[in-house]
Amino acid sequence: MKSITRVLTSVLFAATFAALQAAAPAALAADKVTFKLDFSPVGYHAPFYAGVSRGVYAKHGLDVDIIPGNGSYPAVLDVASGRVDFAFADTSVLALAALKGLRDVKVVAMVFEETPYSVLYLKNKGISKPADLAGKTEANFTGSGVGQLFQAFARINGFSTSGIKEILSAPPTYLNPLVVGQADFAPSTVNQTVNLRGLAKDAGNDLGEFRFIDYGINIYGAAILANTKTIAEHSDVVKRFVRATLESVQWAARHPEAAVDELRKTNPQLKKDRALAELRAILQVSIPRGASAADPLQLGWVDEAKMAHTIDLVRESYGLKQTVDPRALYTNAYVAKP
Amino acid sequence: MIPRVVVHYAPATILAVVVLVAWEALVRLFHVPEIILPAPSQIAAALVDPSVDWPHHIWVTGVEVVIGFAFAVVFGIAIALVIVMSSFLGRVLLPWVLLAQIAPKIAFAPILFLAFGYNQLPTILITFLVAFFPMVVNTATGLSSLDPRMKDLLRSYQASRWDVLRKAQFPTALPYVFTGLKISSTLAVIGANVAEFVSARAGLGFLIINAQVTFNAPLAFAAAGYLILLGVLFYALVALLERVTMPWAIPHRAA
Amino acid sequence: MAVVYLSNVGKQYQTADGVTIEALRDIHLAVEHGEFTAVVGPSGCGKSTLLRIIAGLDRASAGSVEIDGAPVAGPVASAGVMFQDPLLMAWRTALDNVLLPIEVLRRKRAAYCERARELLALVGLQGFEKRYPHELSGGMQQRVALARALIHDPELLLMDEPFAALDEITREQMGLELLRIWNETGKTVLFVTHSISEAVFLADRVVVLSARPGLLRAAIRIDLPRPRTTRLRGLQRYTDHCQEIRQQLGLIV
Repeated sequence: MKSITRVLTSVLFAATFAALQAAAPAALAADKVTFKLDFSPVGYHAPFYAGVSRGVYAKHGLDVDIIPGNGSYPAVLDVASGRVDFAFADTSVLALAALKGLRDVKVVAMVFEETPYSVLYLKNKGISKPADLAGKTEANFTGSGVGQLFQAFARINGFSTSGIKEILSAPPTYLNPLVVGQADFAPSTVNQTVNLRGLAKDAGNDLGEFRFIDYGINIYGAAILANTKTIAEHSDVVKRFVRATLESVQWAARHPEAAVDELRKTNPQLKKDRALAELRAILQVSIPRGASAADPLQLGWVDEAKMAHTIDLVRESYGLKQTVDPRALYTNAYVAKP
Repeated sequence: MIPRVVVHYAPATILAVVVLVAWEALVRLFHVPEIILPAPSQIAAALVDPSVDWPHHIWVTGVEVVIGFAFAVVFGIAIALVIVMSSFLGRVLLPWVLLAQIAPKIAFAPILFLAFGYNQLPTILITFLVAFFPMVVNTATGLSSLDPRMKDLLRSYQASRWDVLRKAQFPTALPYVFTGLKISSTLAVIGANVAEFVSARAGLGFLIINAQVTFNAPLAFAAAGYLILLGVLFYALVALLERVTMPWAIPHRAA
Repeated sequence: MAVVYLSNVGKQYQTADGVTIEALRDIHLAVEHGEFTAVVGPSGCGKSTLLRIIAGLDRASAGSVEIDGAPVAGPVASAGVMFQDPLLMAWRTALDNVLLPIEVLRRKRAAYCERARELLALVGLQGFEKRYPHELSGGMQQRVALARALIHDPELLLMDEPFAALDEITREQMGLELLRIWNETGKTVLFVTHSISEAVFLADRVVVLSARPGLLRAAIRIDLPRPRTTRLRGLQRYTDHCQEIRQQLGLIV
């Protein structure tokens, strides 16, 4: 008698569950989201690709389509227009867009707590401190964000940029003049530098680096961006996306080599040693609490004062008069205070 | 007895070998930085690197080129027909055709991706825009190049405008169309490449950009090498098609 | 009844700068069945225009043009045309070129295939049916053009300086060929030329046009026996006819 009851209960339970499944809205199936990167996939994008290949996003009910990018600015615009749901783009670029009137995009989770920007220079050109850069030749490309922020770098480190000559070329090969010695220095990022220094050394040129964070610039780097409309209408999706992404970031911080292996599943053309070096450089400079944070959601917290400072530095570098309320550029609703 | 094929292609091959050897030697001799100019040996290694899914990337770009080119040919010839048959419509359409050609695709590509999404549709559209102008111009020129006395001859047999078009203008236009096809096919490769530079998930253009941002010059050059190969293959196919389609033009063929 | 009848035909046209040119004025001409009529005159005398009007490719500004008693309103199938340039289609074989008028006139091609071969044989090109124009000499191309002009069995053959582009020796040979074919087919021929000797040698009657405006100066009956042979070029009568025409053209002062 007992076994029949058990069987009937199981059948009833299964039937109810099936009925519920059939009646449930489509939201039970994974939500499809698009996620645009700041650049073509490189080592520091490993957390995102690992999030997909390890099923972290899937676990949170998300089907994430990662779209390789071609600059932070286009990525910001894509979110603003609604063409993509989320973007990974530099906060200073978002600030610039906001200062120019863009209102619909917010940071929903910080990722690069510190900026990865730096200045690369040739040691044999008599440069040992930032002030030595005055009057030298710079390799740059038009529209370079870090190139523009160099203005603030110069002011903070007490030298003028007025005497500096520029060699402009197209991204992403704008550093070539520096490699062959035609230029003395160039704005760059720590992930680029880590590999370039080795390659330049092979060519007989010793490159030094002034990292922005070591020379008085503490601003935010790249973050997860979303449209205010998405935040208003699909808050749950944003919450899950932020959680899954930050979980992935922490995992990558703790297991960088495995993260690069995951990255190389979809991007096998990336060289493992270079990608790993890129990731490690970014983890060290821009995500310092990545491995140690007690809760991955703490990694995404935005401090109002630091956001204000980031905006101010952009204003100064671009010579802009208008202002924007820092609180308009982010929300901490999906993250945790460290 | 040396086979004729060998004799025919020997000079070009020898020159290519000489260039490659000189390149390799110069790069090593002058310690040219790898990221500026890699050695042929490094590029060759990248060409066959198993960790790069070459077939996939070549296929992705190849599909974009073929479809974009196909549309360029169909629309290009169609527009040329309209321009030649109706001077009114021709005046209306020609500025747009010119605009499509002259407008810098690099500037407009992001807008197209914004409009159509991050997939291959805008890429194919850009490929089409880059490739279709030569088809229009060459076909229109060809259709208009008919000797007016031939038109008289046909008219003397009470030929309609359609008869003249079908029997005389089309065949007269054929050599011009093939010239257009040759130019367009190579432009289609360039167009797909330009589009991929702006946005792509895969493809030879994607590889070039990705290689550049990771300072992997051998990979960038290898991807470019496959692109060149793709372009050459297309050109050769068109030339072959020309030879098969126009047996009467053999003494007049130049390239 | 005349095959071709022109009465008071005049032709004027405007140039791009608004100047009125009178190409032909007050032309009276009657061409009989089976007659070989040559039209000769200096360049600009309107002889080609005259031919085009008869062919229906141009309209006369004044007067009437009739073929077989019917007014000419457009191109008629009862005429076959030949120009100075053979105007063969490079992408068609000789046979296909000959059959072109049949296709344009929407007649059954199969019914004329045999006729096309016969005509090619008639013009001396048997065996060349599958050749492309670029494989044929200038003279041979003109023969194909002649076969083409005859394919739909027109009553009237209009020829506008068909041998002008050929060298003199080939020209004379082609002339003899033409006479042979004319003799075998019995067509009515209107032959425009700027060569006085050619006109005299070939024609039954030579119509002389002067230039600007194109006026019909004379229609001279040629008194030479048929069949015409090269030997006849040595006769006094031949020379006299040529001189007569030159006189009409005002060349002899």
